[in-house]
Amino acid sequence: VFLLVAGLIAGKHVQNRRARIHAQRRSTLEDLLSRQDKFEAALDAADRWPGEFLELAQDAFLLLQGAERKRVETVLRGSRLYARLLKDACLADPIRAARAVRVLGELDGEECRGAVQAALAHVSPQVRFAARRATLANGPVEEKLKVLCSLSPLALWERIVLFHSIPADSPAVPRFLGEAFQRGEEPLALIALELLYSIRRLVPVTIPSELARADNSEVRIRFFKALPYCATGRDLALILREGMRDADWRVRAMAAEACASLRPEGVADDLMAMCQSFTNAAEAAHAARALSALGGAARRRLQSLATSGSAATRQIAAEVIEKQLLETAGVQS
Amino acid sequence: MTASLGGLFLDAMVWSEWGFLIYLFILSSLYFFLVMVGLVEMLRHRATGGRVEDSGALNSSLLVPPVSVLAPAYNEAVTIRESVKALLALSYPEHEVIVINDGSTDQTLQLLIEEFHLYRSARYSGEGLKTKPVRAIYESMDPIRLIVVDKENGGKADALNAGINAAKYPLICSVDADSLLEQDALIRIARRFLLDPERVLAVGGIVRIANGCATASGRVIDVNLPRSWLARFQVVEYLRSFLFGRTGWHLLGGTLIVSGAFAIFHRATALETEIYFGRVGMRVVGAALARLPAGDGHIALPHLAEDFLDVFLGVENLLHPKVEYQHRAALHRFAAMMEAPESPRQARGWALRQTAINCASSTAV
Repeated sequence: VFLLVAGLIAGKHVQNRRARIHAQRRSTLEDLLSRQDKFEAALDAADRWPGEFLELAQDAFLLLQGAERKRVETVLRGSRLYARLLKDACLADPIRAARAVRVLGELDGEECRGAVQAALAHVSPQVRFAARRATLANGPVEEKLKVLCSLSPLALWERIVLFHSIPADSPAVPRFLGEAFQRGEEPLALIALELLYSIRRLVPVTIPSELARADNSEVRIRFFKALPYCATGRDLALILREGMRDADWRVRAMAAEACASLRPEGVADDLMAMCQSFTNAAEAAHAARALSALGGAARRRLQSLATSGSAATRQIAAEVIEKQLLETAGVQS
Repeated sequence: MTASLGGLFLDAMVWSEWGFLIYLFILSSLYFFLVMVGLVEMLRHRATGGRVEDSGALNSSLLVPPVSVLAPAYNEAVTIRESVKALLALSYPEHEVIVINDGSTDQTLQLLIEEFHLYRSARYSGEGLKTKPVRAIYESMDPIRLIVVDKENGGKADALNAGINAAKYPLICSVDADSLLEQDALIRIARRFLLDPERVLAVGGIVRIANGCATASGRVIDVNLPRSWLARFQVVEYLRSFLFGRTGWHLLGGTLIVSGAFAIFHRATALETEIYFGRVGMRVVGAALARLPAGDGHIALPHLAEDFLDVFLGVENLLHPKVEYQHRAALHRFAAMMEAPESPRQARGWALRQTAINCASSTAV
């Protein structure tokens, strides 16, 4: 234990010393890169301290735009590090390959794009993930579509991160959504619905209403979540009413939530029924919030639930009414 | 006669000495093995783990399931305001903080009411788990998701059960009101659920000692060793048991217990398994989950999602009853493994697993 403690102290000392040197080098590099007349010196420093420069370049690509970013790119292309990154992208070592792909993905040019595309077929999932991300962020539309079509086997967090990489105005998004909904395959439709819900923007595509009756409950849930962001071919109230009679309470809850956003006519009866009879309090709460959002007669019906015979219904209604009153008071003040 | 008895006694002493030596050797070897396995896993994770941008993407996505953070508090007037502010400021797309005032006799509740402009709300609290009577539920008039459950004193487990009843989100995160969480600890710990939602039932964090660390606004800003040598020994013990030991067990698929100071699990699983019971509180999480048949679910440890715990340096802390609970968890799992495949408990386990799958499916309801 004494040895461990001594080792810990010594380790901390060495770590602090290394961190100081690292910070000093980084600061020097930052100074050189911020001055236009120090291009040669910056190039020299990048060759001398490739680790620090690579780290700096990654941060710069994340944070900088315009001329500053261009300068970092130029120094990177001029340094010996660039050739090494192109080589690293093909290595079997996943850590170095993924890092190289991440950096090269930020750069334009055939060489870099070729390296990223080749990495899409790398044996390591980590490298493939980095390549997918780089493609979705900066790749051509056709490549983006291919990547989006191959997302089904990935973990949810990976899909979320990849969706986040796509620029909001990318033409690949409506094209992919259109194709995915047209093909009618459930796994692909699920990805499309997740993407639609992730970007949370109105997209000019039509969601096939058949997805509200899909076998997979996850597809149905996501369908109602994504419903406010695009059009459907059928009567909206009809679809929502179907959703509120689904066997899965989570689907019913999401349909009620969609009612609160879309405010269609003729759904108040179903929402009232959900408030009075539920298997999970969450669905009743969603239905009560939807009644409150509908306003007018629906809100008065919600108020009538505050005197319901069921204690749970009474409490849920009271909670929603209280929230609505507080919100109104907040807006007025 | 006396001489022969003395000889026998000496022989017994020598043999027991050998026994102790062999026991220590085996124990130290096991610890060393676990530390090495944990070290390899940590280095691998460090090289391949998630990047800052990944956390940023997850933070802004509503596909990430929302979390109710439960913080039981009993006479925490000194630290409660800072702790709650830190919990509210955690990076996560959607989370609510539920402070359970477990019948504090000091100013804990009053301070919370004044600081966060609480009002007595009509919030619906489900009646899933039996607890001591809840006096009132408070919510904030400010645009923050803070709920304070004021209840009669019933111990930590009872307080957490009341918190689970009041929680509205599918994931539950339990933290100690006096522990300091890293800014992105919640998103890192929740990521495990998104990685394998079909199997992960609970995720535990790494607990480290905050003594000696520089803190500000409920956050650790600089990690340092404490000045006291006793505390330094405890740092080493925590590193061994939490950082390396648990990581090693995780790699070997043997995680039976998660730290109550920072753990996350499904609300539905918690309701079904009555995860906290009696007065023993949080450390029985593993035991409750270990009731599930083997292979039905697993408990994961996310590395580097750290929780800094300001440890009270007393003898009772060095002799905490963690080991007893681990043994209990192991026994529960062993018992579950031994049961017939078609037993009612296994059937219940499958049902629980299904519940967990339903809840883990990123559905923000």
